[in-house]
Amino acid sequence: MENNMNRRYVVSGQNYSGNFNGNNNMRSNSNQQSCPNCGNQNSSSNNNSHNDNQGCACDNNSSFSDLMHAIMEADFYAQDLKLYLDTHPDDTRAVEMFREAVRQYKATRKVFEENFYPLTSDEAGKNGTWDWIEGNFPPDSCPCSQR
Amino acid sequence: MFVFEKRTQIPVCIKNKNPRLAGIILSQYGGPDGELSASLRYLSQRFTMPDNRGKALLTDIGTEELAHLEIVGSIVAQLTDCEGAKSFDKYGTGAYYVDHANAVYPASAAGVPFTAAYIQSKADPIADIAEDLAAEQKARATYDNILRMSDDPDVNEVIKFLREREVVHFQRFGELLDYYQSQIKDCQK
Repeated sequence: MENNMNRRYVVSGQNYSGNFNGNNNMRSNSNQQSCPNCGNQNSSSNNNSHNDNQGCACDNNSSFSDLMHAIMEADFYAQDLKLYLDTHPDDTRAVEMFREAVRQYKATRKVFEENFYPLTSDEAGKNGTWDWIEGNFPPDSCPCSQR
Repeated sequence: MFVFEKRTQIPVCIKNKNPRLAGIILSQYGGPDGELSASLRYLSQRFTMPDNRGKALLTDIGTEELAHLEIVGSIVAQLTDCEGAKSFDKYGTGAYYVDHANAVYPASAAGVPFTAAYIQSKADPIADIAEDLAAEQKARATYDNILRMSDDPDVNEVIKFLREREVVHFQRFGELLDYYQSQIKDCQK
């Protein structure tokens, strides 16, 4: 744990933040057409458009995918620290790191939810409409295909 | 108490369709060493852990396994999204299609439906944690097998993350087992 403390997002010595960003293997919008077999309309086309860029949003550093990646990274960092703390409850430095990760997670989530849609139902309905059903539920949870 | 958050733990962005690969990865959804087995195992065993340290760890790992169940389900759904009967048949998964079509159903790669017989819950922390350690290694080995069969970089990116988490969970369970064993030694002094 001590060796890993200077790195931002660490899982057993591997830095996963590098895997999340700038990945050219992400789903592109060319795959997001309505389905010829089952007729499903992909939800990416009927969301509020905060970003009119074509192609994968992750390639464009859109605020949507940037914020979603930041939420995922901060929450994952907190999750990994939480498991560590469960078996090392006396490590006060790790407790501080955990609080910082949670602070970052909450801050990025707040910005995301103000600009896009609620991630938990307790944040829904703040604008007087039922916006809980906006956005993409899994499996349509690729940040690159959402806008 | 559980709260659903409308996102996966990490991005799942699969470009290509592949019902054959979906049928293999399905085993980590509802197979013997899959994420459903893992989450139910820890979330059941936690009730009889002897102290809050054990209850916390099993709750937290069991909860993360539920997030992984969602990730594996998302991979399977994306790999088969909009694929028709002929595609399933061509990729050798016609037997799955006839019963479930494009649905995600908890079963092993061999088609055996999920069963609670995959897990145990003994109210004995040494027995339970020893099972959990083995479960993490069996899941890790299954992910290794998937990586040997998959040539899709989008899928492998996610599978490698899930594999890594099994290793971290194994480490934490090992620390918990050491802790309980040291407690027992202290009592015997």
